[in-house]
Amino acid sequence: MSTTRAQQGVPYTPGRSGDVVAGLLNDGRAESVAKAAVTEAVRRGARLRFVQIVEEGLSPDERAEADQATFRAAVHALRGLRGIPCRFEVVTGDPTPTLLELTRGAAALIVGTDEGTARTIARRCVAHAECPVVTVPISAA
Amino acid sequence: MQLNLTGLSMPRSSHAVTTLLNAVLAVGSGLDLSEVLTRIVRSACDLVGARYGALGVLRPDGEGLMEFVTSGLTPEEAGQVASQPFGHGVLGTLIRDPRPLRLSAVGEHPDAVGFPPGHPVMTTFLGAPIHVRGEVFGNIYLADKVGGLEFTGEDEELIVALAAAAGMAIDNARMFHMARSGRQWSDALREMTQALLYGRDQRVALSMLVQRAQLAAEAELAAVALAGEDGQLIIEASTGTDPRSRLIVGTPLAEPHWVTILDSGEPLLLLSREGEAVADSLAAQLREASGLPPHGQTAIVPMSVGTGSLGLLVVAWGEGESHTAYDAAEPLKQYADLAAVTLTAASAQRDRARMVVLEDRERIARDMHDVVIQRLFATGLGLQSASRVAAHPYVQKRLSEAVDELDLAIKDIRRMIFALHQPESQPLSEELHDLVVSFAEPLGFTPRLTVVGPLDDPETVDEWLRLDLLAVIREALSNVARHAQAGEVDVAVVVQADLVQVTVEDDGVGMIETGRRSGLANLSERAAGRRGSLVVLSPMAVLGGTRVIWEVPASVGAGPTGDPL
Repeated sequence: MSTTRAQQGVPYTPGRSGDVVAGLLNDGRAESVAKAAVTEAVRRGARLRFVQIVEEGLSPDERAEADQATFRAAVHALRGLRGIPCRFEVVTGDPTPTLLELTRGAAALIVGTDEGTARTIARRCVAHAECPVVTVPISAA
Repeated sequence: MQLNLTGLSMPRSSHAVTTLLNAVLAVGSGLDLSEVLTRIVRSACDLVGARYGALGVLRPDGEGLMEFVTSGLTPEEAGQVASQPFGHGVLGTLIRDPRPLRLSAVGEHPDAVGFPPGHPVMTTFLGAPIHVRGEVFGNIYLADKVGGLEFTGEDEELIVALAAAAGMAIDNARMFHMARSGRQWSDALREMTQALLYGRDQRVALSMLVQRAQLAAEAELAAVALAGEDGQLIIEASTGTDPRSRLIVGTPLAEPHWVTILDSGEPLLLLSREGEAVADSLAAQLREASGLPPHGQTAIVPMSVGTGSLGLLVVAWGEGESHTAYDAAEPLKQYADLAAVTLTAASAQRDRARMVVLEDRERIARDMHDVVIQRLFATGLGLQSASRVAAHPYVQKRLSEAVDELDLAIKDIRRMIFALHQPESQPLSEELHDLVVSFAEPLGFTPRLTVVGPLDDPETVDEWLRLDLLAVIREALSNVARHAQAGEVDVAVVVQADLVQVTVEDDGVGMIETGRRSGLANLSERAAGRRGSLVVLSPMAVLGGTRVIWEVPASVGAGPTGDPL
């Protein structure tokens, strides 16, 4: 039988391993990063933390719009998968230190590697994060 | 799976066999999973004389443990162990290689990593995997055989046999739980559909919906929010362990994320833990308003029908109920979708029922118009011609009185026919609003409407007064539209101290030059019929403007206009 343990009704409790953290930027690629994070969380039976990083200096309207766009991407990524515990956070600040701080004790960090900002963030996270880092290339979009 | 008792290779005492059988019986005698796990650990310790015992439940990814049930530890030690990550060192060896493992000194094994702080030091070790339906469920770990002895080969075989029994007991407990929760859900589905389809009051049916959901999901809160015509989500029913859960009824869910979830049609399970910032959590506010701690699990389940969703079912648990929430995710979605279908069906059913009533009324109205009125009219004509030929003045007088009575009767019937054409459910204030808005075109602007007092209360304003009010305002407004050349009209309906007062005020050319008496005569008649009054104030032409005040007593079970007394 090829059913997974989760399908057999084995509790899908977030394990001691910690959370899977998805670092989302409002750059139009949030959904592919979120999808990769969902896959990772399902595999580990971990809780999924969607962390949306908002640049400093945005107006409340821009912030709300960015929040809405990434939230929608995350909800799309979860399509068809039920019962995965998740959490949505919006953090304002410099992405890399914020992610490094948030992933202390996490099971994995998922970030995109686009050209520009995302690539820099990904490179720094791979170098400094305490947990495994999964990078999602553009082609995954 | 079978107990491989015959495979026990060594000659053994009947005592060992008896202990094993007892242990197997003990393990199999419960149906609650956590109880079964505890019993397995205790039985295993008793069976081989181990001081410490533990059962580790494997994580879904099979790379670590997610639950650790212990025996033989003091509460402090148990607390210490529970706060450490599980499944490192030798325990991890068994996870990677699920075969029985027997050691004389656990600390000397190559995989040993030492004991974490607060963990008692252990020497002899025996471990064995537990299989459930062919998959590794977890491991039994035993340490420190009583009397400083090493675990024997016989111990190992006994534990392997017990592990097989444990696997079956775990499977049974799980099946039992699934069957019980399945039955609870099917009960909930049946009762919810019945309440929605056959209940007279949708609010009652919705509170039944949330009550059954809370019960079946073993949750602390269940609430349902429905989307209005403007797409705004409003909580329509709510129930929970805290009485404050009922207070959130009527609250709009204004945060745009709610609508995103509604549109996606996909359920979300939110989980936040003690100590985490809650400012960003979508569910925290709702939970706190319902008297729950902000942390814990919250399922947000769209009630989908076809490609759209009617609303959201929100179910919340405490922080520690992760199994329950996970198990409930799938049935909750089915429950919510069935509720959506049922709500749609119920509303179609109500529309159909209303249609039947309307058609029936239409038929009665037609019959009255075509048959009854024509007949009365013919009788009236007959009487009228009879009165012309009647010689006696008394007979003449009586006949003309009878004709007048017939006229009144015809008027009443016409009024009733008009009433039959009105939908019954719309409150008067809404009807007035619609009426006033309908004058926007002839007037060129929308009149202002002010309503004060219990206008929608049928005790204060009965059917007949309602029709009069509508007629009075309609006539007053059409007077304004025809003659006044007004730029503004204020309509006020005030119900106060058993009086109903309608004021229609415009800033037009005033009454004096225009002689618009016909409409006013009608208003005056309607006022007189209710022993009320009509006052028309029209200042000098230079000032302009007219104020019409129509005032009558509120209904106190009064009959129709033109009360015969």
